[in-house]
Amino acid sequence: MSSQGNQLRREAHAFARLLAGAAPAAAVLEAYLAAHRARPAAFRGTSFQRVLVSSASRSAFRARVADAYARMFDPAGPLRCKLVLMLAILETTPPAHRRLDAPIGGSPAAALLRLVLYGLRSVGSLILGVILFTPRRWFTREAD
Amino acid sequence: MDHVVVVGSGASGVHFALSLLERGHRVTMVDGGKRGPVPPHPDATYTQLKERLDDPARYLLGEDFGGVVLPDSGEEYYGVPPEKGFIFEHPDGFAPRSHGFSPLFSFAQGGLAEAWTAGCYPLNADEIEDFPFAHSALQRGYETVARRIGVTGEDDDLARFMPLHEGLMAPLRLDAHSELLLDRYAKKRSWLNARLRCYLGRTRVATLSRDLGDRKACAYLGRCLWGCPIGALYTPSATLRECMGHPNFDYAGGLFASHFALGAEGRATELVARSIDGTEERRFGIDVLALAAGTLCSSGIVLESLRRDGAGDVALEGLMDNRQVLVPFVNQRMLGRAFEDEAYQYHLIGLGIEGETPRDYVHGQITTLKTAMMHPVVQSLPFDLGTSALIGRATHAALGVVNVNFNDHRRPGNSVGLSGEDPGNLVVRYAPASGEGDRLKRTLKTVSRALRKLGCWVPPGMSHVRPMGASVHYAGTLPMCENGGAWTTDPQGRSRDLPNVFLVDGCGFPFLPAKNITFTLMANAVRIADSAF
Ligand SMILES: Cc1cc2nc3c(=O)[nH]c(=O)nc-3n(C[C@H](O)[C@H](O)[C@H](O)COP(=O)(O)OP(=O)(O)OC[C@H]3O[C@@H](n4cnc5c(N)ncnc54)[C@H](O)[C@@H]3O)c2cc1C
Ligand code: SF4
Repeated sequence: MSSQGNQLRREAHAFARLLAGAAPAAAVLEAYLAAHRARPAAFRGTSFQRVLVSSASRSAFRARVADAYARMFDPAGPLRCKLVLMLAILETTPPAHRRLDAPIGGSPAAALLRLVLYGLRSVGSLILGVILFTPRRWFTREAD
Repeated sequence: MDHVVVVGSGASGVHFALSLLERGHRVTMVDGGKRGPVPPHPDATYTQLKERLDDPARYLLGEDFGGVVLPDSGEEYYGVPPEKGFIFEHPDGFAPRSHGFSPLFSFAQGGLAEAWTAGCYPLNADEIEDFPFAHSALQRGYETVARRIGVTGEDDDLARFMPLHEGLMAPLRLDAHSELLLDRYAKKRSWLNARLRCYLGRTRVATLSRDLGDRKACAYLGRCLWGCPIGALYTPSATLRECMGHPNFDYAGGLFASHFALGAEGRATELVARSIDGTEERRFGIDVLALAAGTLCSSGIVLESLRRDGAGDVALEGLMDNRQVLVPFVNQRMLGRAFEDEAYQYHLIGLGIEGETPRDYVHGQITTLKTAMMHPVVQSLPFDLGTSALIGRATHAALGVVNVNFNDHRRPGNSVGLSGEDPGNLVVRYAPASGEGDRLKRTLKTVSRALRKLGCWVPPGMSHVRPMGASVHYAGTLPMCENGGAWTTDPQGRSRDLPNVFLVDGCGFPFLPAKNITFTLMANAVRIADSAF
C-alpha cells in the first residue's frame, strides 16, 4: 500500500471518529479515497497546510483542535475540504447516516444548554490550536 | 390550420404547444432535448434510498463527488444534485459572458423548471397594470394551466396577494415545523398584520395532493430535490410527454437553434439549428415561429438572426430578474426534535409583505429543513466541524430559510447582446436599481422582526444576498405593449419587427413582480396561443 494511501486511511479514521463517533465503514473509506482521485486539486496544500492535515489525522481529538484552528485561519484549506468531504460521505452512507440523522434529543432548554457546552468545547479547541499551530505556521513560512 | 415551429420545451414552450395542438394546429418543436436518468427505487423514502442503493454516496454526491459542497467554492449554491446535472449542461461552443449577472441556462427537455421548487403564484390586476391585456385573459390561462399541472393551495391570508382561481387542489400535508409556524402566526396575526403588514399562509405549489392522469399524489417520500420518482411534483417534461401523444406534434430534440433567416418585410423564412455536439446542421421552413427558449436564449436567437442579416450591433434592453435574499432562522421550539424525513421537502408556507403600492409587494417562501444535506449548511458555523455536525444534529429540525423575492423594473443598460469578439455568443449586462441596498435593508429588518415574533432566532450576519441571475426569473427584453416602437411585441406576443415571429416566454414581460413567474409564463403562453391562433 502506498504511503499516500496509508495517510488517507489514517485521515479517514480520525475524521470519521470526530464526525460520527465511529471508525469508517469500508464503503466510506472507498468513497473517501475515490473522491481524492476525482478532485485532487481541492486537497493539495502548502507545507503548513500539510502539517495541519497530518496533525489532524492522528486522532479525533487532534482533528478537532486542528480544525478549530483551520476554521478561523485557513477556512478553505485542504483540512476543511477533507473534513467536509468526509461529512458528506458519512451523511449519505449507512450506517453512519443513521447517527448523523438522529436528533440530539431532549427539551429545547436541554438542547440549548448542550449547544452552549459544544460551543465552549470548540472555543477551548481553538485556543489550544492557536497555541500549537501559530508558532509552526511562522516556522514553516520561514522554511518555505 | 397553422404550422408553428416552437423553439424550446420549457414551461413556456410546452403549454403554448399544447394549447395550439388542442386548437387543431400543427407544431414542430425544436429543442435542446437533454434528458436525465430514471429515479431508482420509486417507492423508497429518502432515508430508505440511502439503505437500498448499492452506492448511495455516488448517487447522492455524484460519480466524481461534484455534489460535495466544499468550503468557499465561490459558486452560488443551488442545491441541485449531480443526478440533475443534465439540466444545466451546455451545447458545445455555447459560452455566454456576463457582467453583474450570473445566468443559468438549460438545454434539457422541460428546461430549467425540471429543477424548480414548483411555487405557482398568480399575479393580481395591479401587478399586470403594465401588461397590455385585461387580468381576466390571464386568469383563464391560470385556470387552464392549473387544470393541466395541478396546483395546491388554500384560501388564507396570502389570498389577499394571490387571486384564487379554479382548479386549486387541497394543500399538501404540513410538516411539524411549518405547522408550528402557522400556529404561532395565528396567535400573533393582528400584531404582524398591523405593525409589519406581514401575512403568512400556504404557498401555492404544483405538487399533487390527489392523482392527476398518470401522475400520483405526493407520497411524502422526501426526495423532491433529487427528482420526484412518482411525478407528484410537476415538471414541464410531463406536458411534453402529453404533446408527444398528439398526431400533429413533431419533436426535434438534440438541437441548438442558432438563428432564423430573414426574408421580405422581416419575415422569418427558415430556422437554422445544429446538433448539440455541433456536428450536423438542420433547417426548418417557417410559416410561423414561436420562440420559447427562455428569455436569454430567445433574445440570443433574435440577435444572431439580425447580426447575420447585417443589422450591426443590437442589444435588447430591459432585462429583469428578481433579487433574492436568503434569511436563515432557528425555531427555538423545534430544538432537539427529529427532522421529518417523510415530508414534502420544499416550501409549504409563505410570507407576504405589503409594499407602499401593491406592485411593491415582497414575496417570501419559507422552507423548513427536512431531508436536505447538512454538510453545505454546518460548514459555515464558526466552530470545528465535529462541533458543527453536533450542532447540526441538535438544530436540524429547527432550521429554516425564508427566500425573499423583490420585484424588478425594466431599465436601460440591463441588456442581452452579442459578443463582438466571439460572434454568436451572448453577453448579459445587469446593474441593480439605485437605492436597492436601502430597500433590501428595510425589508430584511421586517422579515427578521416577523420571524422573531414567530419564536425564531435569526442569526446575525447570515442572510445571503444572492447574485442577480440566481432567481432564474428572467424577463423583459422584448416587452409586450399596446403601441410600442422597435423591439417590442404586440399584446399577442407578436414581434413588431418580425411579423411572423412570436415571443412566448418571459421576453415579453413589461414588469417583473416579486412573485415567482413561471405560473404566469405558462398562463401567458396559453393566452397567446388562444388569442393569436
Ligand atoms: C432551482 C430552481 C428553482 C426554481 N423554482 C421556481 C419556483 O418555485 N417557481 C417559479 O415560478 N419558478 C422557479 N424557477 C424558475 C423557472 O425554472 C423558470 O422561470 C422557467 O423554467 C422558465 O421557463 P421557460 O420555458 O421560459 O425557459 P427555460 O426553462 O429556460 O426553457 C428553455 C427551453 O428551450 C430550450 N432551448 C434553449 N435554447 C435553445 C436553443 N438555442 N435551441 C433549441 N432549444 C433551446 C431548452 O432545451 C429548454 O427546453 C426555478 C428555477 C430553478 C433553476
Ligand atoms: S415528497 Fe417530493 S419526492 Fe416525495 S412524493 Fe412528494 S413530491 Fe415526490
